[in-house]
Amino acid sequence: MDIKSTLRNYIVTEIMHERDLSVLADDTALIEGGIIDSMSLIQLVLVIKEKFGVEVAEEELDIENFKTLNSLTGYILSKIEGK
Amino acid sequence: MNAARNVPILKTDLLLLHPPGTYDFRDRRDIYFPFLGTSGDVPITPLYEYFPIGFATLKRFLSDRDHEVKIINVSTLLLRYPQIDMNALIHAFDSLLIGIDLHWMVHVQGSLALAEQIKKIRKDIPLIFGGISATYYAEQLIRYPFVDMVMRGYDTHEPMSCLLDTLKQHKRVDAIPNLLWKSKDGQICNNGISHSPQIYTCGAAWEKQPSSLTKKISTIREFLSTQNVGCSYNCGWCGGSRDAFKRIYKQKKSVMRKPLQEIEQEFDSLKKVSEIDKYYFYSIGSYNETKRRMGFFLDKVGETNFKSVGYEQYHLTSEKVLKTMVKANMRTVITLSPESHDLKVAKLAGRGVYTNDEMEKWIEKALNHGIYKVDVWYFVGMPEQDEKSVMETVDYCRHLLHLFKGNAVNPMICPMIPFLDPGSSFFEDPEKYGYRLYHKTLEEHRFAMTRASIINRINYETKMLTREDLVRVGYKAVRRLMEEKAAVGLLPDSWVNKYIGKIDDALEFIPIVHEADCISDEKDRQRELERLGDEILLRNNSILFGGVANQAFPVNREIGGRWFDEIGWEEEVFTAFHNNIV
Repeated sequence: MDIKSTLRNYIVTEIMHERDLSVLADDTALIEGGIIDSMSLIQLVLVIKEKFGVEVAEEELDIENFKTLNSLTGYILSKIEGK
Repeated sequence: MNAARNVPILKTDLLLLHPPGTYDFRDRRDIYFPFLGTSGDVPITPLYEYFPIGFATLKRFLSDRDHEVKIINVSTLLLRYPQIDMNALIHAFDSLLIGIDLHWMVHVQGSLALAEQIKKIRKDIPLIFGGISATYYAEQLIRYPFVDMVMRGYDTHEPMSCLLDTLKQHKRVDAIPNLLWKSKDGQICNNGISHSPQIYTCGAAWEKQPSSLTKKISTIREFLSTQNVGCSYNCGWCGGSRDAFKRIYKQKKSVMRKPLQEIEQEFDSLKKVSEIDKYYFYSIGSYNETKRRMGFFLDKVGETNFKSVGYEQYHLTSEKVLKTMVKANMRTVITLSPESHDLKVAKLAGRGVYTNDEMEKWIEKALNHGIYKVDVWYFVGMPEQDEKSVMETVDYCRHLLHLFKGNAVNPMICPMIPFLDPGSSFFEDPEKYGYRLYHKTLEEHRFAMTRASIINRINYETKMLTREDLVRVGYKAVRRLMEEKAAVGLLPDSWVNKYIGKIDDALEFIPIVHEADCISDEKDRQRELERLGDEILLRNNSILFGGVANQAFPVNREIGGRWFDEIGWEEEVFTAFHNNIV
């Protein structure tokens, strides 16, 4: 599974507690839309580390990086490429 | 607009000011504020920014009676706008009355220093104090030359309304109940305490919420509500406990409840909050509620579409109530506060009504019923609790983390610093419970809060833990618990490492500052503290202005958006008071 699909799968099933993956579009607002809060954010950061080996530093917890599935995927890709 | 100064006039009937723990905390080279991520539900800095909820209920009650009320949280204001010239701001105040809270004792120095500065600049505006500690220390408080009045009591809505009416009519204040005041010639006048309603009169109006500046990822959005004042339970360390309430307010009853229509009004106001579905709602004191009232409250929670809801619970909540809680909100968080894993210590602390085994079985059931999360709070500084006992509590937390994998159970621990609450049973009869007090009077507490060393600010020690121990053991316990959380995958390693780095720095620097602060010769002490000044300032700026973190979310978040981050006027108004402009 690619990065975006993995993230979508996790956010929809574990955070939104939904089954239908289509409820989360690539450009759905994750933070401003209230999908991700502080509690689920910690879990998401742990999953990002576990699945992609990417450590999200405190200073990288920027709203732009976590805005949508697209931006989050882009952020993770840039971290992987920068390794 | 004040044309001479080119700044706006801050006009209102009653201006309520919430002081920081230390005023003025900016650029302090002589007081060290070490980092300690708290275990509370909402992150705060060492300035203790939250104001008493009575500010919010007073605002609603008085507004309904045609008195304009504004609240400025001075901590929030100065943390968000450190350039503000406070003298210019005080010059711009235009109110009938200024009210300052002294509810929690930790604000003693900040409240008095702020009052003193206001009085220097604005002799024309009367200044009143209120809150639990203000009531407890009323006779001492009124003797400070810059304090004009103290409003005593647990419910001062009606007397405050009478006072504002009286001031508007330029009449004498000698008929205002609960008021302790000074006449123009400095005579102290006591109107007696005759207003003691057997209810908690009023709920808050929450429609307008403080804005958040944040561009960072996780904005803090939280409401807090209480259905009552006082308490049914008797935790010996707590100034709001059953016996403390009776003692301070001289009442037979220890809980005064909000009428149901007031609770309903409060929820109606919450429903009007924009994006209420993004807010966490924290209910304190619901453990004091009767079954019927709790049922009503949960119905109201169910009608309001909060993102998540938290309840602090004294007993292990019944399965029936748990199910109703989950039905009311799918993300229900329960906070248990056994204080110690050791039942003997827990009982001495006023808890200990369930064993660890009972708690574990209950947590399992609660999670099975759909409870989203259980936080478990432990405390350092309880009777008969030594270092070994504290570290065994951390061992027990580790056990909980392994037993309940994932993030559903989150134990936290915190030292009780700086103060044991005046009015609490342990404070009133320290020897009986194994405590020794360092500061007793208001002035001793005020002075303590000016000490450079956090150890010297603490007002108690126990038979088992000295003041140095309370700090060292407290930090050590938090440190180890955070390590355990990283080890089980509850928190990211990198976040925990950074958090621990701050604790380690505090553990290293606290003894250095303490040693200097304990030099007996004043000149030598000042010289040594001045030598440390740059390092103190560097750390303070990082801790105070770097955002807020707590043990539950150990990453700095920007100040703003918390229910108590109210600053009274639009943000733009305050830019006129920046140092470089005025």
